[in-house]
Amino acid sequence: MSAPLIATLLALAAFACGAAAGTAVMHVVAVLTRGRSWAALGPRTRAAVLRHARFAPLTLGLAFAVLVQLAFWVFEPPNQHETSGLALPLLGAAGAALVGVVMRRAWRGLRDTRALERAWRTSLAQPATVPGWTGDAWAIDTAFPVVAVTGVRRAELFVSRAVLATCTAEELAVIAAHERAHLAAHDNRSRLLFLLAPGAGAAAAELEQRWNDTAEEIADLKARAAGDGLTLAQALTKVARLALSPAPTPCLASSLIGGDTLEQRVRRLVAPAQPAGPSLRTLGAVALVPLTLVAARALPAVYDAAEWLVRLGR
Amino acid sequence: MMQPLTGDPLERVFGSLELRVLDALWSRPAAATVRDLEPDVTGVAYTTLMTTLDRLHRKGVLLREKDGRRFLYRPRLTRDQLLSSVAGDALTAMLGPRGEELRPVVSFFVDAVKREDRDVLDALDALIREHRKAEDGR
Repeated sequence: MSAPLIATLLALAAFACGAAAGTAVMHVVAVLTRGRSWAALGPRTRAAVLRHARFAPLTLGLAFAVLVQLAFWVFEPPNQHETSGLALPLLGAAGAALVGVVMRRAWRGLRDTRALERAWRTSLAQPATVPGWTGDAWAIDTAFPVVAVTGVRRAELFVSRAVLATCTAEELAVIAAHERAHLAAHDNRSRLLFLLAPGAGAAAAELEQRWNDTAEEIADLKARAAGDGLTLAQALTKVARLALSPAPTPCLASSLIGGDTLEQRVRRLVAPAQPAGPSLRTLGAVALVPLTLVAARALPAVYDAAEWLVRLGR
Repeated sequence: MMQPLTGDPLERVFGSLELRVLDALWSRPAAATVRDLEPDVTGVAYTTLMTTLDRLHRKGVLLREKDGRRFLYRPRLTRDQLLSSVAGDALTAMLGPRGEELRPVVSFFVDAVKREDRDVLDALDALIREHRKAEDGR
C-alpha cells in the first residue's frame, strides 16, 4: 500500500475515532448540564458550552485527523511501502461513511433552506422596509407569521405581511434588533456546523434544542438593550397570536414543537435584565496554546499508535 | 444584491398550459366544462385540455362536479390564495410531520406555538400591560 493511501486511510480512521470520542464528550456534557446550578450561569456561557459540546465530534474528529497526518508525514520514512492489516481499511471506511453522512446532511440543510426561500419568494414576495434592518428584507404572504433570517454568508430577512401589518414600527424595530443579534452571533453558521458535526440521537438533538433556546435568550437580551423589553415581549405575543388565528395552515401550527419557550421568553423580558455572562471566547483562545504544545509533544506517540493500527489484523 | 422578481411566481409551480387553463377559469364567473374553455385556451386539442383539467383536479387545485354526462370545473382558490397556499404548503412540508428530518439553516423569531397557548398568551399580555402600567406610573 502506498504512503498517500495509508495517509488517507489513517486520516479517515482518525476522524472516526475522534468523532467517537467527541460523541462521548457530547453525551457527558448533555447530562452534566441538566442541573439547576447550570441554569444559574449566564446565557452566553451556556450557549458557548452547549455549542462546543455539540461540535465536539467534529472538532475532535478533525483534530485527530490533522494530528495523525502531521505525525505520519513527519516520522514516516520516505518511499515506504507497507502492507496494512484489516483494521485500518475498516476504520477508514467507517470514517469515509461518517464524512459522507455529514456532508449529505449539510447539503440537505442548505437545499431545504433554499427551498424555503424559494417558497417564500413565490408567495408574492416584495422588498420590504423594516425599521432598524439595513440588509435585504422581503414581505411575504404566508399563513404562518414568519419572521426569519436565512443565509450563512449573506443574510436575508423574511417577514410575513400579517406581521408587518400587525406590529407597530417600534415593535418591528426590536424584532429587527433581535434578528441582527442572531446575525452578529453567526447563529445560522452554528446551525450549519451542527449538520456537519457527526452524532445523531437524543443527546445531539437535546444539545441543539437547548442551544437554540439559549441563542433566542441572548438575541432577546441584545434586542432589549437596543430597545425595550416590554415592546419585544409585546411583539412576541402579537406574532404568536397570529399563528393561532383561524387562517393558518392547521397542521403547521399544531405540529410545531415546544410551547414553553415563548412563555419563558416573555417572562424573562418583563423581569429585570440579567447579565449575559462571558462568552468563553477568550478562554478558548488561551486554551489553544497549551493544547497545541501538548499535541506537538504527543506526535511521536501518535505515530506509534498509527503504526500499530496499520499493522493490526495483518 | 437582492434579486428582482420577474415573471409569474406560479410558473415555478405549474406548467404553462396548466397556468393558461387556470387563468381561463379565474376569468370566468362560474364553473366551466372542457368545451366552454376551448375558445379561451386556443391551439390546444380537446383531449389535452381535458387531461390538463383532470391533472389540476387531481392536484387539488380545481373542484369538479358532475353535470349530466359532463364535468364542471372551478378553481378551489383565487389566484392570490393559491400563491399563499403554495408557500404555506412548502413551509408545512419543511416544518410539518416530515420536518423532523429537514433542518433549514434559518433563525425564526417565533417557531413554537401550540393551539393551547391561547390562554397562556392572554396571561402574558396581562402581565405586559401590568408592567407597562407600572413603568408609566414611575
